[in-house]
Amino acid sequence: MAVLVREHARLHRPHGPSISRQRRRAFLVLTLPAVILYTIFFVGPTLASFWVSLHAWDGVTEMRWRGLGNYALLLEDEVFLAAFRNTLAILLAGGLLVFLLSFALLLGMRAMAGRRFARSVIFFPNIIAPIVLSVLWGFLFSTGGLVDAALSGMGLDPPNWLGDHLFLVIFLGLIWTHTGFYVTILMAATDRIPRYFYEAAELDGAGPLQQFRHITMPLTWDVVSTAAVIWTISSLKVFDFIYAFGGTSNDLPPIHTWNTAVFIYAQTFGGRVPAYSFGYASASAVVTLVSIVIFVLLLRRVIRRDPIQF
Amino acid sequence: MRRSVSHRSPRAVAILMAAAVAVSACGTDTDGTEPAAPQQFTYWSMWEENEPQATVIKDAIAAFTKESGVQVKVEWQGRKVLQKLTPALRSGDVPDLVDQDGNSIRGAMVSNGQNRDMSAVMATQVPGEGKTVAEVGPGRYLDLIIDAAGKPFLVPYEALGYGIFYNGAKHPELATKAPATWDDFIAMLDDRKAKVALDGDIGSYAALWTIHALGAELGPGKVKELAADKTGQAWSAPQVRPALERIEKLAKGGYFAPGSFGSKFPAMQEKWAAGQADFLLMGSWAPSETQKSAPQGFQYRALPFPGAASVQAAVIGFAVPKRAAHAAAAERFITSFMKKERMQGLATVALNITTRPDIPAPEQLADIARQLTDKPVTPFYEGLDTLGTYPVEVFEPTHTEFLSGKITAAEFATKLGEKQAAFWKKNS
Repeated sequence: MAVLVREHARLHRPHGPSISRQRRRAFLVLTLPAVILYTIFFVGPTLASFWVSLHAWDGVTEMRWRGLGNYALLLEDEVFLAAFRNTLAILLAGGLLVFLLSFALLLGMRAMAGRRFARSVIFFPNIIAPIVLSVLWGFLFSTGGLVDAALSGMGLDPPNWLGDHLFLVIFLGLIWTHTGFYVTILMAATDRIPRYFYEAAELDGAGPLQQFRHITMPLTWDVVSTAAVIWTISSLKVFDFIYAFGGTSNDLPPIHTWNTAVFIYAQTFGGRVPAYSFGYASASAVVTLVSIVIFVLLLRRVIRRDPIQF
Repeated sequence: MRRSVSHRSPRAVAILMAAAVAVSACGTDTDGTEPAAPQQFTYWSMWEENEPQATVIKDAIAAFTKESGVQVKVEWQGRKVLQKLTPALRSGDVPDLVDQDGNSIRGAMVSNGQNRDMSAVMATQVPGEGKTVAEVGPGRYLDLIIDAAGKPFLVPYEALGYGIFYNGAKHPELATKAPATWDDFIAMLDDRKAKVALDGDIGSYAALWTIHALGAELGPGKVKELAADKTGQAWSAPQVRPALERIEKLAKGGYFAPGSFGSKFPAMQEKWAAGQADFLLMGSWAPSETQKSAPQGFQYRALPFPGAASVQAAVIGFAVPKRAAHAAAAERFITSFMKKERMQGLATVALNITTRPDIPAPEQLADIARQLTDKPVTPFYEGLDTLGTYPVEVFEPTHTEFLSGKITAAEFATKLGEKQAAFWKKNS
């Protein structure tokens, strides 16, 4: 909108500045409610979290100043570092897999009959609560569960999935639930591409991979880059899928499966007798937030291209 | 965490509200004289409205309102009641009465000085019974409900005990011949080729075995001392060794039913109820959680933990926030709820063990109730769950490795000690 207003201002300057001033005023009036609400509900709490992170606080009594002490502790806290590593694993390795799978499905489904139905099936996990999917996923991988039965049927000796490889199971589950969403977005983007590009490429002897590389990728790049930013943000917020591996609603999942979101919950309201360490949890939230900002900025810089008009 | 924002304005509101309340309550509640009608207080319950406990409490509230004229405004908050209470404690707009288990109340209200001393309630006569609240039963659990100054912060109405559950129809002889020592217990398992079920994905359920064994060996309060040792070296002390070696034998002896460390709760306790395993070390909620999977004729019986002189217990009860505006009315309700006729429903309708020994426990919990009456009580988890995130970050991950047979007793002691030292360094 800002761009539009600027454009108009430049075009209409000869007619006098009053219209542009009015427009600018209208712009301010129209955006002000959103800015105020955003400041109260997002910017304010974020700044307050930073302030709380400099203290020790149980949420009830007076805060005690700790300076950067919480941050120094975080850097030595094996549990937090492991949670941070898991967060990065989901973000980077998970992201890579989700997008590779999405592209592979896109390639496979582009010319497939019944592709809309297939897309709905892949998208299905997105309309179910993650907590329900997580419970189902856990039972699939239980000792003697469906996965074990399938492996045994093939003559393989199944590992103890939930006991020895729980994070891997969660990781695979996250990829399963998220891939459908990105396939749907990317497919909508490819559907906009006129068919004659592909027909021309076929006449020139280009195979599916070459068509993907020279037509699909360049023409959907702006969508891909937006999807990558969405993944970055949503992967750092993954919570309920992991949390549901905690057994009952009172229990936290094993620490080796925590990401930073579960870590923050564990330091505040989680567990049978919650820890109520709001200062420490705020410090870990700030570290997570700063990481998100850095990753999004880096990502946007790396994948920035001029969109191609067609 | 975001709720922590801007604490100044809620405080101002809280002060104004407290002032308003003080003005409106002058000469009523706070000075203990007869309140002016109409009166009411707010109760945030740990139960959901459709739970049988809520039915019993609703009946008690109706009877209380009828006899006293005091209206009770109930909010059925469910198990997360204290998590909801924390922001309210900060703002000052608190309910007058809450309930939850003792350790949770300790963590949410006592550690920050936000509870009212319940000594006076404990010493009040239960209407029409000629005995005080403490004397009718709750006094027995005093060790579980006192703060650092020795004052009770909770009036317990329900007791939870632990035992090794089994099907009395399948093992009838055990009712009269319970294994007295650990060796007897292992010999009994060997004789019967019996399997123990465990939902090992819940770290605190797995920990029950080792914490009980340590408690039986070392005596009351000692396990918490081990956990509180800043150096972590206490775990390698010679007196700790025998209990850990017993558990090592259990872990490596193949006694746990297949799937105990590779399933998702409640798969294993369901298997136990269905007869695919013989024993389940669990709290007194086990029958109500598993009865749908149990075949007809299943008789819930429970062995005491072999060699233990005391029984691990937890209590659920009422607490009053320090800044409650209608504390006296809430306390009056607590006293009236302690009447036998009011509490009876907890046993007959909700199938729980009450804190009154003169109310017979439901049949399926009779063994546990007997232990609670006959033996001294010691806190659930030996109180380790009051040490912040210690159980989940330090004890349980290492312990599950130990109980699933991946590490030896000596390795467990060393590894736990190292992690514990790091934890206390972080939390000092």
